[in-house]
Amino acid sequence: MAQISQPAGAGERRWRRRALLTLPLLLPLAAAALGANHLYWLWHGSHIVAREVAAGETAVFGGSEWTLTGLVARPEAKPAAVPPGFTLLVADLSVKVGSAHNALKVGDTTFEQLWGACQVGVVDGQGRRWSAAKLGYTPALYPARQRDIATCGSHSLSKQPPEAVLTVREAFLVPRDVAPSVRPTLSLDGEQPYYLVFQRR
Amino acid sequence: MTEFSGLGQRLKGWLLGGVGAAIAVIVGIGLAILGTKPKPPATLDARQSIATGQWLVRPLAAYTAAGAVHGIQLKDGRALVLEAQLVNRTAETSSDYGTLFKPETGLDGKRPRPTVVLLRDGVGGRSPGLHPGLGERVAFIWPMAKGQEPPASLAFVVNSKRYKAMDNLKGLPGWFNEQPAGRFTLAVAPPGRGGVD
Amino acid sequence: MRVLMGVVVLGVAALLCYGLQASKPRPVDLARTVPVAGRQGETVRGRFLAGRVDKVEFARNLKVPFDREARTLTTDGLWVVVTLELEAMRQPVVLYRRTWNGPSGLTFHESDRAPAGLPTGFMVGQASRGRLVFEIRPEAASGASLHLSRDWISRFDSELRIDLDAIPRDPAGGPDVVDTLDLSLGGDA
Repeated sequence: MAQISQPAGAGERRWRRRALLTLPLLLPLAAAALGANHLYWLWHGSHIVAREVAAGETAVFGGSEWTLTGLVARPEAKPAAVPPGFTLLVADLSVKVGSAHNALKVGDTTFEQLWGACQVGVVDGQGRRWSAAKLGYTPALYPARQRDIATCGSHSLSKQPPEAVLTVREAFLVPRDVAPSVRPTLSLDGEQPYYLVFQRR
Repeated sequence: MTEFSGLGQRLKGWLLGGVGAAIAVIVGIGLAILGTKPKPPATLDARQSIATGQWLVRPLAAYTAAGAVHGIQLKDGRALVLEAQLVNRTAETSSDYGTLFKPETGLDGKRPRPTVVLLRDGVGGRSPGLHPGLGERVAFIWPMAKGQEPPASLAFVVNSKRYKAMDNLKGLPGWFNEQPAGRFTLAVAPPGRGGVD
Repeated sequence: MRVLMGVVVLGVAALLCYGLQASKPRPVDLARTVPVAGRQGETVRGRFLAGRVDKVEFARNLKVPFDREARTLTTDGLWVVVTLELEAMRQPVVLYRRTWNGPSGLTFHESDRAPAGLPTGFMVGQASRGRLVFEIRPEAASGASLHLSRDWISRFDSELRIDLDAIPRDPAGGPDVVDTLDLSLGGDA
């Protein structure tokens, strides 16, 4: 009978026991190390934490300065797109583009990266959300002559120079009864998990 | 009966184990290579139903067309058309038939995927979703190379995929590993005289 | 003796590993959509979407509008027209996966031959009423359920599963199938 293994010495037995005892410590550590990335993206991949912006105030967000300048119902801008019981709410945000070095200090993070996945929405008192309506060509809201008025998405792709002042205009289809009370929100890739909630006047 | 004791004996044991493992790995790789060696596809009878993983296929006719066929405008030159009856054997609606047939010759070198048209009610829906257990007649339309003479008969390879309950990347179920299931030969009718109606 | 014991232990370990592999749920089962069950006629509330099935109709042929004229669509199986109402509850919802699931597990997607009768996007505050058209095998008509989800694999999202137990029945107890159902009139949808 060939015997490959020898009876373990005292030193080997001691190390075996040590290895076994470290397992309950090492396994949770390994799980935590593997899950840390998931937790990071859970936190930084969605807008979770609201930052209130008082009426008329300016907030620094995504390296730029944002002010809510208008929120009015304009159903006459595109009557065909408005279902019965709804209205078209138009939000105007005034933005002063940052120099891309100011707020976040992420090296040379560019305007486009900070503004990526720019989402303007409206939220009511019960937490119900509406995202911007897809209206198509609407000259009543986006006149061809005024290049500085556009949706946040199209501004974010337009390579604006630092210190430029723009108007981000978004339109929302919301039920008529909640239109007087909803508040605009703003979320940017570079600032997640934070998002802005603007108080109305 | 020798005892493996001492450094030399221990080394011998390690060597023995290593050589055994190496032989096992080499034999395994060799078997795997032999297993993937392409076999010439079996010759099938075009008049009978052919079962692939996902489809029950019955070839009906092959022909060439010019100008327009089944509501598809052919930009330049001719097209090769294969009509077939397809029955979805899976449990879910599918349109995974883009690589089901491969004409062996007669197309331009790039072999674009065919346009697939449903032949029912004359509506001509493209890339129709075929529902489980419901047979449908469809036409596979390949553009032919410029100046290519239509062959009198043509061999088609029928491909089949295998079901995997978990794919290697995401653990999702799906149909993978396409392999030729066989080949059949059909006479190719010239323009204007093809089709079964 | 020791070698034999080793072989036995190895065999038991292999069996145990195989058992674990065969019996454990797949990742897709752990992280897929969460079913929310309900019945025809009642409002079923998922995480973001509420829906109610009002009517199920079976037909051998379907008359649909096509280029300002009516066209008849035939089938080797059965046409099913499901009339339903859907509303987003908290945020905008898109609904891409709408399937008819037969009692034996056959999954029929919405027909791409009949014109779409229900939008894919839903807003909070607006109930959308519409029709879903399926082409099914006759044996999948009774005991089926309608599955509605954003996308089958959207993790931990909810999926409405509405049991269709109030289908029209003929005197023999089978599904009541009309010869031609006219969708070009608009019906009550």
